[in-house]
Amino acid sequence: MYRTISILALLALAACGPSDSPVNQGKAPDPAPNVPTIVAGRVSEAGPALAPDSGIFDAAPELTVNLLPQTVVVPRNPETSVPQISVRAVHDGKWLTMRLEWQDNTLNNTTGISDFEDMVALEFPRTPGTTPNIMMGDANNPVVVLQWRAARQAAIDRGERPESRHAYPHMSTDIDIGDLLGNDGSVYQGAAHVGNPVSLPDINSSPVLAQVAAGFSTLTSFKERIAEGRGVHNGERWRVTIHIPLGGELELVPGLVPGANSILAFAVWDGKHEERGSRKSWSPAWTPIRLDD
Amino acid sequence: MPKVYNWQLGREMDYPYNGIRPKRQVALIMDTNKCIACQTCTVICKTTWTPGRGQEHMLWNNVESKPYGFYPLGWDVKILEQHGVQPLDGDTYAGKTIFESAPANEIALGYIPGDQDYAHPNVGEDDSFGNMTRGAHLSMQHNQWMFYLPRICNHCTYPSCLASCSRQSIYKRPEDGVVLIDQERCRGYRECVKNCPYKKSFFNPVTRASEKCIGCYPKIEKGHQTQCTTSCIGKIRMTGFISTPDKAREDNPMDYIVHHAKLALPLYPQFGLEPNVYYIPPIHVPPPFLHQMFGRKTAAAIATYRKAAQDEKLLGALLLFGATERIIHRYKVEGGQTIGYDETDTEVVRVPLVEPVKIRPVWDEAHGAYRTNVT
Repeated sequence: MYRTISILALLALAACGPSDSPVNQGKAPDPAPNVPTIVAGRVSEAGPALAPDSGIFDAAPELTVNLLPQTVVVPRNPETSVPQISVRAVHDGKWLTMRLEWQDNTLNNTTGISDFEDMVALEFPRTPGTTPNIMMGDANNPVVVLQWRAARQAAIDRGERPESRHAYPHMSTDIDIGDLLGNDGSVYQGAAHVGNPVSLPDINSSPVLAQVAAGFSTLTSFKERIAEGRGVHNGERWRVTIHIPLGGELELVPGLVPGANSILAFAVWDGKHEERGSRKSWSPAWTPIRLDD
Repeated sequence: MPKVYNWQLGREMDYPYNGIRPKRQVALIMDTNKCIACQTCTVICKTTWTPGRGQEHMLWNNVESKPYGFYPLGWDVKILEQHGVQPLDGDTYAGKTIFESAPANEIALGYIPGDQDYAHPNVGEDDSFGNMTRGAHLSMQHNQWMFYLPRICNHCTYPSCLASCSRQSIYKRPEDGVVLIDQERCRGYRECVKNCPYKKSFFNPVTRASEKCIGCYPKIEKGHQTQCTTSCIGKIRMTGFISTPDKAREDNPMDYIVHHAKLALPLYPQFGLEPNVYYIPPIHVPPPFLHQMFGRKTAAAIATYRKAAQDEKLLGALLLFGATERIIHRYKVEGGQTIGYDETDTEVVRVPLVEPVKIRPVWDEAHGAYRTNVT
């Protein structure tokens, strides 16, 4: 079964064409006729102010993207936790807002020792007109990965950096290193001390990690570029918006401007099933997107 | 999958990466017969490295009682159960490693401990194996047994944590073989927590990254032994550099004890990680239990330990335990003393093979008083 799916995924990759195809160089690919395309219509205001439940999305066309379990590289995900994701998009010339919706009847927004958070990510080619390897790009064709994280958002909403008591409200400790050492205690916060973005060293940052990758194991966060986002869980499903700045100084995805075509891919992680990293549901083929003028 | 040579198994084995050994490999030897579970090592490790927020549950060093002590709960019996019964006899290991018996979608056998598994590090402490029969009383030799097992990261030659990290955030330092997690790149996927069979990778829920024993590398770089070693009041530990068997030097106390005397043995070598903490097995524990833990050479190691005093070189190496903070690179036994030298071949310690004994009369003439042993 897994092998069959892996082969299908590889075929899907092959169908995307060679990553350095001269046909695609420097030109945004036009969606082939009849290929389902996400169309982002122009609205008066997109961007961070647009809530996931905003009625603006009701008028945007919805595209349902099928997801498969990631079974190409180990560790693999044997089963799809999230078989479909519904996508709507709008833009206002400054921001492209993607609204992502999927069924998930458990809210996982803590990161305890053995619990995992719900996440969703978008992947775009970093270089306009290229069709990178959909699995994290490749050395010549990097990709931009924008990943919204539920526990990250929960911490930002609380307005304080993560603490053990957030995951374990009834815990007690006899010594608090922060009380003893003040800021010097930060050396015992290894990852946060060295600025690891997943440690949320800046509580005022975004729930969305803006990252770049050029092949397996290369995913790295941008230091300054940001995307915004917000997720709302209603007990049965997630609705998440990811806001991508278009052009200008904040530009994240070069070439992604009104009137342009691009491609993107999706991945969803279900914390309840301990999904993280390569253990995920993903769209093994690029989906075209068009931003209306 | 590439093949690497694991000398503890006497054969090549599957491993996700090519086998490149470090220029030298840091290692520890621990004498379980001398450990009293005072937890001084645990406490000094905790206060040195893991007093921070999110590290509350972490003990990079712990001492647990066997057979019923575990930290985290059931760590070894759980992975042994997954691993299944493996043939342990013979010069060449005929069973499978945790890499070779990995499920279809995984790098290796493994599991993620639950939160509660870390909650009681002293579970099973001092609980002995075997029922007390009617009329049983304290006598030598005891029918019941237990022993203390001090544990740190094994800084394995073929680390499963490193093999499992899909971000390649874990690396083995070429200069000393210490295995580290890059705190800047780790994303807390916990694949290392899952696949370390010794459960010595930990997730920090505050920094949302994984952490592990760093082998006190700042001390190693300065030629000093690890904190857990130098704090040990029982002098049960030695930190040094170990060679592969083909390059073993008789004048390296680590090599002498492990390779020449074959007195100290790796923990669960059948997992296939070539761990670099070596244990002198407890002499009072039934062989079948130790056989599973330390491999088929346990009985011979115990026999060697019982007559260690007859081997002057072995005795000399053992007496260097806890004798100096410096890492001993060379030693020799001369004139009834064992002498240790550091990396620059400078003498750093000298220990008599036999402690001088002075017998004082009970009556102290000078002070007109009886000498009383108040301890």
